[in-house]
Amino acid sequence: MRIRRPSLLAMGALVGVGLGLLIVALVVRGYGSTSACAPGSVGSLRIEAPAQVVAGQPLDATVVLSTEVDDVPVAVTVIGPFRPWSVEVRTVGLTAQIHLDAAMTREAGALLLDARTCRAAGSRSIMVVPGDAVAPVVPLVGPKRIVADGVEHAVVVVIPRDNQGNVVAAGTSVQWRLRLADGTTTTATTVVGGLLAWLGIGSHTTAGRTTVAAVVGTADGPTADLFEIPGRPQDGYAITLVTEPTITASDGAKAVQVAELRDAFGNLLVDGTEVTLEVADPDGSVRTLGGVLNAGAVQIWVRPPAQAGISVAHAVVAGSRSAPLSIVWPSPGAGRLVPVTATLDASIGVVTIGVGPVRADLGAYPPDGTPAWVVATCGTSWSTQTTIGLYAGVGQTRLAVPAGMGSCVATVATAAGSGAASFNVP
Amino acid sequence: MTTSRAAELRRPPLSDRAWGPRLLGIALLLALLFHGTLLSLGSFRGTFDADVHIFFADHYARAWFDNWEPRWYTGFTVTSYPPGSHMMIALASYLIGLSWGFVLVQTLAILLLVVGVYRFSRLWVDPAAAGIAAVLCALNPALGEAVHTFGQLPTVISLAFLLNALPFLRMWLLTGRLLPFLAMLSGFAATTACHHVTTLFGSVFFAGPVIVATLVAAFRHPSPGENASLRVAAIRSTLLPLILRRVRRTTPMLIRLMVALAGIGASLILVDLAYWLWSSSDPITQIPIPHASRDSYITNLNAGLLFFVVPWGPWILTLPYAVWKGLSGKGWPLALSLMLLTLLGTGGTTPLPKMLLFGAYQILTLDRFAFWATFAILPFSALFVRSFAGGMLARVMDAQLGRPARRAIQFGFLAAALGSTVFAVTLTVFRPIEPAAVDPKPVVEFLAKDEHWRYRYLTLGLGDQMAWLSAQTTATTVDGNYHSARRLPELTSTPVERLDGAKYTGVPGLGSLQRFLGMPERYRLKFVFSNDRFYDPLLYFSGWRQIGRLENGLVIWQHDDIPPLPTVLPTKEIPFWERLLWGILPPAAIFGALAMFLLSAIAMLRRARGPRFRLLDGDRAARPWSRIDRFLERHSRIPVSAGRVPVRDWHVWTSWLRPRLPRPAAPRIQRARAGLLLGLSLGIALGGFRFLHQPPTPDGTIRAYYVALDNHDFTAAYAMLNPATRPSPEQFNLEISVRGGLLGDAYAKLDKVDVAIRTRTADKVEATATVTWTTSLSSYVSTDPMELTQRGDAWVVEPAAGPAPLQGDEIVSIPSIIWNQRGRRSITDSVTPYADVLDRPHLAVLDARAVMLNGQIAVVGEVLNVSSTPAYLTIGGTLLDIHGTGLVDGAAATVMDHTLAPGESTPFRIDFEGIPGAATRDLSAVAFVPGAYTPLDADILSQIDAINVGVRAVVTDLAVDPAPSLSGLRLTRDATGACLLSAQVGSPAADAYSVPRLLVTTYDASGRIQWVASRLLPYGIRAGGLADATAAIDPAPQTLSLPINLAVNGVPERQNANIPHPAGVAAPAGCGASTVAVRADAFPSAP
Repeated sequence: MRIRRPSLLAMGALVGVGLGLLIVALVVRGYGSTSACAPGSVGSLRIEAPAQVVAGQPLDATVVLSTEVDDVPVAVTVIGPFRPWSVEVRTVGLTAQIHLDAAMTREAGALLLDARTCRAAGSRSIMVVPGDAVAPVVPLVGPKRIVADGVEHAVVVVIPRDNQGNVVAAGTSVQWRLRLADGTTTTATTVVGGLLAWLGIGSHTTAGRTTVAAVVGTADGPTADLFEIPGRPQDGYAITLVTEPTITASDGAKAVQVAELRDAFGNLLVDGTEVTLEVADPDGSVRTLGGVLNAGAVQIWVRPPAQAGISVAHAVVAGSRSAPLSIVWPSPGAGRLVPVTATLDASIGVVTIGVGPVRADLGAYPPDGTPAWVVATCGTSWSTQTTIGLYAGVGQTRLAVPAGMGSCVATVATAAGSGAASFNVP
Repeated sequence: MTTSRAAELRRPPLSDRAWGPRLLGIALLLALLFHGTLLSLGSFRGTFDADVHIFFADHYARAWFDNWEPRWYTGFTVTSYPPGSHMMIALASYLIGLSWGFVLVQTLAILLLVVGVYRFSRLWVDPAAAGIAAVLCALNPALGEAVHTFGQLPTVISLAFLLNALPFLRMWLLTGRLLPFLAMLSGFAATTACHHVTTLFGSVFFAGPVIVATLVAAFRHPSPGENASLRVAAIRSTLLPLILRRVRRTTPMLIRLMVALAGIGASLILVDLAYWLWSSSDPITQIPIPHASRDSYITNLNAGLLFFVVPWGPWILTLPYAVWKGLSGKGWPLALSLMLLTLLGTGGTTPLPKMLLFGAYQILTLDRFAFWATFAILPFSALFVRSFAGGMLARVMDAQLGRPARRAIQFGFLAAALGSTVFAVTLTVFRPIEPAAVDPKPVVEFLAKDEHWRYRYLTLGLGDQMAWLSAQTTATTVDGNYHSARRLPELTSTPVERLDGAKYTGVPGLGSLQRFLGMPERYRLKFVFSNDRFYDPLLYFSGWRQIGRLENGLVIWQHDDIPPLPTVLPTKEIPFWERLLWGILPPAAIFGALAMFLLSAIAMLRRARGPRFRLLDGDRAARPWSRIDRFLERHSRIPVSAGRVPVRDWHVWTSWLRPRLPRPAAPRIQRARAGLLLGLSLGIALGGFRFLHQPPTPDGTIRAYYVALDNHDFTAAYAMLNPATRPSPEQFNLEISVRGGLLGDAYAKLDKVDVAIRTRTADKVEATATVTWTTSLSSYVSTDPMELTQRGDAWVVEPAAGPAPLQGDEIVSIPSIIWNQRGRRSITDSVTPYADVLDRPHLAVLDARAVMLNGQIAVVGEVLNVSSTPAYLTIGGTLLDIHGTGLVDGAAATVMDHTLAPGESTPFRIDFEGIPGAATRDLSAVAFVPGAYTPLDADILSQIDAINVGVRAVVTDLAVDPAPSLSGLRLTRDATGACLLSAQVGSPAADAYSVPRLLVTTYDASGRIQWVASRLLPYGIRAGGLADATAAIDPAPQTLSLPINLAVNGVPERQNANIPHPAGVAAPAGCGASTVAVRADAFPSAP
């Protein structure tokens, strides 16, 4: 029979792969590595070593055999807190020496030495204890900001460590030094337990920075800051109209000032706190105007309303309301009649309302942009309104009016006066 | 002149068979120069699909045997698309990079396609005509559009393999030789490896005609031992022998056909096995993605242009000739296939494709049928070209119209053909279908630094380039560009192809996007790269903040307080053997096919014959079916006497289709006809021009005006204003720019304009334009009164009043506070020190209660920042069942203010909404209704036992300016009894507001919160300016007695009822509320 060359090659490859796999399997299983005991092996052994060692210190131990035999291999396994390590030493007479360098005792905790010959075994546990605390001892505060209301509290924690990074032994004293927001200093002492030391810090009623330092033995470190922040102001704080220095705006606006806003314990509220001014105007409408505290104060401009009279303003800060402030908007007077025209285009149902020319102080036009509130009312059943900005004393708007409204009135109110015009919608 | 000389002169040009290979060479050179050059110049950039294929190739380049791609859709399996073409790019990318790899593979695919067209055409026409077909292929506008506009690679390369495999199929059927069989099989396997749909449908439309034509030819080929010279009529006594005779003639071929079909079927299953397994275990149960190819091309002219007019070009005019030519010769099976392809290629213009394709209609894109049709026609088009250039058609034109007219027509057609090809490949230049190219490098670098890749990202307005960006980073996105692989119900339940282009899918798209942007922590979505201002308001009001603009112009938006992705993400790995097959078989099929094609070409050149299958060869003695053959031979014998019956030709249609050439016309008539033709052409051109430029109606003018505003074509909009009353162009542009806002800036997209003419006179029209805008937040309807005046033939728009002047002094001082968060105070690349990490701000929840309004379950409440630092808020909730298991998540996305200054409060509303389609497999039941709230399933409603509400915040250093001022706040009731809030919103700060917003909160008589509504103002407010605002007050909701488990910054807490809510406006009786408080905020003007 004639066998083709490719077939031979394929068969060869198969056999080769099979053999290779067999060799790999044998190596993995450890075929051939029999552990025959050397002649004259001993029957028992013990390990001599100190009961404890300071973390990071080298350790010497001795394996002592029951009979004196030279050059017996002793397999030593060191099982530390995080990793095992093995070494083989050989006996010289009765003993074999084991040396663990500093790297092997870095982690505090139990260290188990296990020594074995082929027929004997022995072990010994050694305690690796942490050393003294070293700098830095870093206090951590949380939360870092609490309200200075005498109720909230924070916790400061340190985890003192030795030079190997181990937490110092439980029971180690930690001295706390605190400088409170009011400038006074105080100390306290706690002990390490559960791998840390902590101290509760209750809030005081003075807002500011509390600085905390921790000392463990001779080791110290940086400070940590705890901020006690002001709470909400109490209702009824005062707000005022700005009168000095006299500030006049071209549109007649007035500035309301919220100054030196303090919480219930007299702490000045922080900058950036939002202040809302709620203004109830004479016509029954409401305004909300916003501002933020800057250098403890804020000024909010209030423009004249559509109708002369008295507006009542309240500041609202974090839900706390100020005492009311009355703002008087004087009437422009009887002579300040604003001309109003109303022209209806019945075909499309649109009334064009013209305002002006409006005369203000000195008989001149009011500043451009002065608002004119336009309200069109037809009987009691229908009304619509809009606001226009006057330009060169005049303004115009177009309002859609439903057909059949009958007699209607367009009233216009501006800071410089008011007026009205009537029109009829068939 | 001798007769033979005259006959030679009558032969059309390019009839010599020697022209075939020459023309093929010319076609290859043309394809290489034309397509290769364009691809090298980057024509594939800005196409629909090229970047997607490059992304897939990048996957294989990174992990060839890994089926899981984590970068899109929170992970998907790449076995959802045949990998052949992508693996070829991946292989090439190891040497020349992804982009050039794509260019190389696409160019080779085109060259292979040209060869395929030549070889396929040879089955139907002579070599010279096949050569012409190859040239036409190189210049085929459909190919140009597919490559340079659509960026399709798998479609092109798979068609190339298919067309090259078909001659081998025919050869196998005829000869039963092994080499053609292997070449055919590997060709089909390679086709499948690149695009399984081409194998499935190509077998019908391309292999089908080849098989039928081969079988029909075999019908006529006498078997050994058959008396072939005897012509026998089909009468009763000869019918059975005649049938058996044809059965005998075709039996070997049918058996080979069975073997071929079995092989093709096996390769179809085996090569893409992982795809089929994925498809069966994870079927595409998604809302169908609308595709314009399923539209009517008459109503959607753009779709018609893109999917029918451009790919066909002037070659559609050759369709009648092709059908006639096909039906009148041996090419009738191909002609029938061509007709069917053309019909299916008309998309949704007629209901026929839907009736023919059944369920596949909603999955397939029908443009591919038009694409295939333009290749199926090529053999006949080649005949047309030859006839048109100097053959029968040219002679007819000469005789009927005269030579000058013929030349003009020829020149016109040539110009149209070349022009259509140029137009097809440069379509993206004339009509950009993708956003302008954006350099992805800055985004890639941003994602790579500071461990930004540990969060998911999203692109908006980048188009298909997002795939190119994804290919260059290992960062992941919730979006993707391969909709079949979508897995999240939020995506699969909506007809949205890509969140990146959500605005083009209207409210459904924006609805999906709102889910992702509103609950980003659910998806670990932290960064959005926006290339479109349209999305800015949605991003802003959903709590995202701009952190800067990259060098490529993309704006980075970031959401704070998002946890990073776990180091190990969940994957859905398929079994190892599947991955092994997926990684080996497709490229093996491609390389195998190429090797077999080459081997066959060498064998053909050497005229070598390959070995035969012993089972299927022509050696009668060896046939295992020789008994059957003998039986058939015995029973198909026809006595000689039967030949006396006259035979009537039943192929009656051949006489119908025979050309009847008219007599040559006299020169005078020729000139008249030519003139008529010219006049007709001019008339059509003129009519078309007039149709496109007819004077607009008032209705049309208003629509055109809004379209111009929507396109920001302010010059055109200005031109439509009344010249007598309009302001100067500078004033007009100024007023437009000042108005800004949701509708004024690029934040809205025009949806529709309804015009109602109120009054009309001879020269005046009063109308109301009800304009529907789609904004990223919702649909917005504005009702604008319009006045038009007639000037000449045209109507012009009367300009609207300009903005009111500002009130107050020309300069004012506005104090503000700037916060600066230092971050890491030491320059270090290690973990941020504890001392540099800020606390979460203190928050007080003033109220929180569960309510239901119109079937919509929500939690409404109010939160106060009692910290001394600004807070960035995130508020979410979960409906719980009796066991405390979460049922549905919700978030207060856009109905709250996310940034609070110290002492500032915000109302919020958490909406709990069902996911459309999540609970049902009935796709027809989950149609998305614009603006609709998707109610929770009844079984979920019945299980709700409690609600978890989580409020958390981080410190932010965002500038917290004073809120917009509100004045003239009053509540009224209109004639219908509805409660309306009216106010004036002002900007007291130094910034202008682009999109002002009112948060309207209603309270009951006990002072508890009832409902919170968000109302956006349509236009912006200048710094120091005022704007009127009105808002309807929602009716009182039903209060639900569900316990609320409140957690503030992760710590369980109770509501703080001691802090009063803002004083509001007393509501009139009947408004369903006691008081109404209004809080304004605004999206500041874009930087």
